[in-house]
Amino acid sequence: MTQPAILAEGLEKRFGALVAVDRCSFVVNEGEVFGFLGPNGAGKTSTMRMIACVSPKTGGRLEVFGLDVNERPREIKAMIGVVSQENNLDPDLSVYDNLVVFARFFELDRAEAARRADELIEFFGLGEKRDTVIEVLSGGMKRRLTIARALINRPRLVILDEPTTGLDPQARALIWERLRTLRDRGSTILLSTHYLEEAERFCDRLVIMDNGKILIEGRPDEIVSSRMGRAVIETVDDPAVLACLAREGIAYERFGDLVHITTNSPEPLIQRLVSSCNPSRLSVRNATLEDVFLRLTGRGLKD
Amino acid sequence: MNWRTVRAIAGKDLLEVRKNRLAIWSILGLSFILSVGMPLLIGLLPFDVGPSGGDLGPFEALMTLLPPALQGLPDGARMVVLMLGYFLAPLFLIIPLMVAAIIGAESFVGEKERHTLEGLLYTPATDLELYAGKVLAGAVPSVLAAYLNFTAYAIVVNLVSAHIVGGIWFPTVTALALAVWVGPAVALLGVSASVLVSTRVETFLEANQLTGLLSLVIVGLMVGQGSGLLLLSLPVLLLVGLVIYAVDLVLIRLGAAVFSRDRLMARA
Ligand SMILES: Nc1ncnc2c1ncn2[C@@H]1O[C@H](COP(=O)(O)OP(=O)(O)O)[C@@H](O)[C@H]1O
Ligand SMILES: [Mg+2]
Repeated sequence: MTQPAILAEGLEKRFGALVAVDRCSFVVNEGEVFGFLGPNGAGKTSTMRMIACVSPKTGGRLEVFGLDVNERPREIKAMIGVVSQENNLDPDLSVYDNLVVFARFFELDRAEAARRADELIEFFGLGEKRDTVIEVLSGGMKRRLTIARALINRPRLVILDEPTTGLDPQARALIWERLRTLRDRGSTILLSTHYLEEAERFCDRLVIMDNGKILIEGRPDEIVSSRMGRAVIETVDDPAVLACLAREGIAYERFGDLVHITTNSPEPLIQRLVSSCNPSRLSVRNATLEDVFLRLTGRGLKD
Repeated sequence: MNWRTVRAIAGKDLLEVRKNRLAIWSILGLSFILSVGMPLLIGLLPFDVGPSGGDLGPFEALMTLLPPALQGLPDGARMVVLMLGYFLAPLFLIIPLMVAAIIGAESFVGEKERHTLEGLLYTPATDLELYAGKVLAGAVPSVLAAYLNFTAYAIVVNLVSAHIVGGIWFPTVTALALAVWVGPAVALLGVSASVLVSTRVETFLEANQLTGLLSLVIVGLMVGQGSGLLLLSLPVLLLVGLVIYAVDLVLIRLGAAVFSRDRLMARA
């Protein structure tokens, strides 16, 4: 039995009267990619900051690689790499200097720091910008550099708080591609995001948080199939269709101007709908985490 | 406390200072004015270098306080000695003070301005190491700058006055004590003051201006000097140094107590 990378039990973070993280329990195993999903204010950042030992927990138990965050923060920090939500690179330094300077805080000697810096510059495709002051880099490059910096100490656990938020799709794809390589090398990765499709594809396991609470935990496909069934039929929200669905005894949910019907066997249901309700529009798609989220919270993730 | 981390932090801050042109040019400009410009100007003033006996007005009393070896010089020469060797010397302390204050402002407040403290939070470096690194980054270059400038000052002073005084006469014992003993004390004062100031202000310039107020200490020394109160005496200088070191100790401990990344970033 190997020891988990992170163990949280009844973890809590209060800011005065506000409960940002409300008695959360979860386990992240070594080698796993674990996601925190949730809307803004859900408590993702607060949770990750406690794990990174930069924000004291106000209750519960929290261990990283078996070490208590309150008792052994230095040792924990030496073993992890953190990409915080905001880039906090040094704007006055070059790409290379940002990495080398940071390396020195992890007690790497000069030669080793230089070696790793160049390695990471290569890995993140920043070679052409090596000696450029980071002020002039694009958002995607800055993000890549921030991730590179978090890897300078060869961390056993990498924590990424919304690594792709605010970037264009191309820049995001590039980052996911690099993270995938990292995952394949066996790093334990903890990340938060509100791009559900990306999380669904990338995470081995994830939790959905809202208002400081974990609503659900599990493998993405299992969460979707257990909560939603295989498919979602979408049709228009008009009174005739609603009346027909009620008459047929078909369960549905209304979201904005759409009606969702979830099912494990869409084909016969579609035939039934078309023949008896005759809606003006109808479509089928695979159920997604977004649907689970809508159902759990009654609202979309990007609200 | 881990010395490698402390050194890494000091190294980073000095790298940062090197990139701050305003800081570099302030330091270089100030150094040049005080160590080269001022003595050159005074040395070239047309003092009457005739025989003794002229009316030196208010300076007459001060002249009598000069060391016996210099008493026999002509009035003009004594005047130059008085100006270069004694009046200007405390002014020279502005260098370690300002260099320390500029670096301090850059390393503490600059970090706040650039939002780079957050990044440091994620490293194993402790607040105390961070603080020690920053104090080191301020203290070492300012003491170094003070010594370099003192050397430059000594060379210029002798260049412009050796011919009227009759040989190489500077540094005097008191000037040496000022540079070697009081200089580092004042450097530490600049560093520790800028730490405390940085917890209150948001920009490099503000910090610099506030710490600049410390120059008042030096103005105080000059006034004391000019009024004959503190003039020339080695014991007085040693005592002044001692007092400043004591203040340094208090301020540095106070700084260590208030310095926290969380506080500087104003978040928990
Ligand atoms: N330093 C803080 N002081 C007070 N409240 C905070 C602080 N940081 C976060 N919060 C609050 O805690 C809640 C959770 O925030 P956060 O963890 O940042 O959520 P997320 O990362 O999921 O968007 C929010 O209501 C937020 O306003
Ligand atoms: Mg967040």
